[in-house]
Amino acid sequence: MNADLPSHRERLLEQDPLSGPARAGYERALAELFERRLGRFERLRYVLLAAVGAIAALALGSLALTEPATTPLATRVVLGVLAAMGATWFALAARLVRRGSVHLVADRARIAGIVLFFAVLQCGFFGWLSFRHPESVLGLFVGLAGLVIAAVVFLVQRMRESELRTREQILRGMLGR
Amino acid sequence: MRESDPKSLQRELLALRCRRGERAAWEELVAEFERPLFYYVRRMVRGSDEAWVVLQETWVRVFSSLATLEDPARLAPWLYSVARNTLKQHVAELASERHVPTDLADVHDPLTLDSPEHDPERIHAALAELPLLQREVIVLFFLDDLSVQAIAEVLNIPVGTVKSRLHHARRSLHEVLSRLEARHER
Repeated sequence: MNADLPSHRERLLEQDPLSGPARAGYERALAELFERRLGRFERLRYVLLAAVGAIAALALGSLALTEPATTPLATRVVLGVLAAMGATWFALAARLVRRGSVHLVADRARIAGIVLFFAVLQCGFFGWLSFRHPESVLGLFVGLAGLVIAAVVFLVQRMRESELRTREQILRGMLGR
Repeated sequence: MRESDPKSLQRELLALRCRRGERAAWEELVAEFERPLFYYVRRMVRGSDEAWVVLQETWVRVFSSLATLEDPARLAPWLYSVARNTLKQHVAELASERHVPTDLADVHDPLTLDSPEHDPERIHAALAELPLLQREVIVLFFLDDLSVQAIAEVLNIPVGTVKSRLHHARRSLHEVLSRLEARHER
């Protein structure tokens, strides 16, 4: 291979200017690989999600606070957690609508984190509840099933990540960086 | 190119960073390979607009399938393979629309780029007159990212076939260059 002649290669490549009417569309498509602009329907979907989240957070939150003192603690906890869930989805959807775009890597990771967090909460809650009300063990199993799937995905992801990082460190060492 | 040389190691590192979703690494990847991939694709299609469309689709495919790249050290041949598969699909789609032959779809000693009697500008002009398969193999060779072994991998043909195709391509290129120069002298 004629690897010792970069200038000839560069001169050959310069014969094709990186321009043309289609270049703008190409650059836009490349930028959207990481950050996709929200279309009208997608924006509407997130507005609806934000609205549902806000309504749920306000309604359930105020119920949790205004229920009579005789209301069981478990009911209050459920209302509080559901209100927190609504508030979280509201915060995420409102942020996306305000930004007008979705970061395909970062936002997906955030959504996965939210789902995992509430799955853990669900398991914790139903686990605690099933000691006093054995019939609520079904809720625990549903939560556990989601949690096991999330944990497997998370674990595989972490193993792959760790493998890539190790190889990256070896390569950096070989390159003296 | 040997797999343990600094250039290969840097590319492997780049591929790993891309697989971890590092945006800066993607920008580096595009900056490094955009020009040679565009040059290759542009030689295979009719106009620059068509080339941009194919290149755009190539990056979309690379983005969605980089995790399947088993050996990150083979980044360059893999990128050219993705570009080539995208080209094949593009050519096939055009062929079905325009009813033109799809010789690219069947693709499975020398003049070098530094030959003192031919500068890259003339070689660039002459490339357009070569048959598609010869043009493809010689462009991949001149772009300098790939060894003959890697070109064989991209084209999915034996190394011997690459060598023979390169030999014919260089001979054709010599003839075209001589003809162009004779025309120029008249």
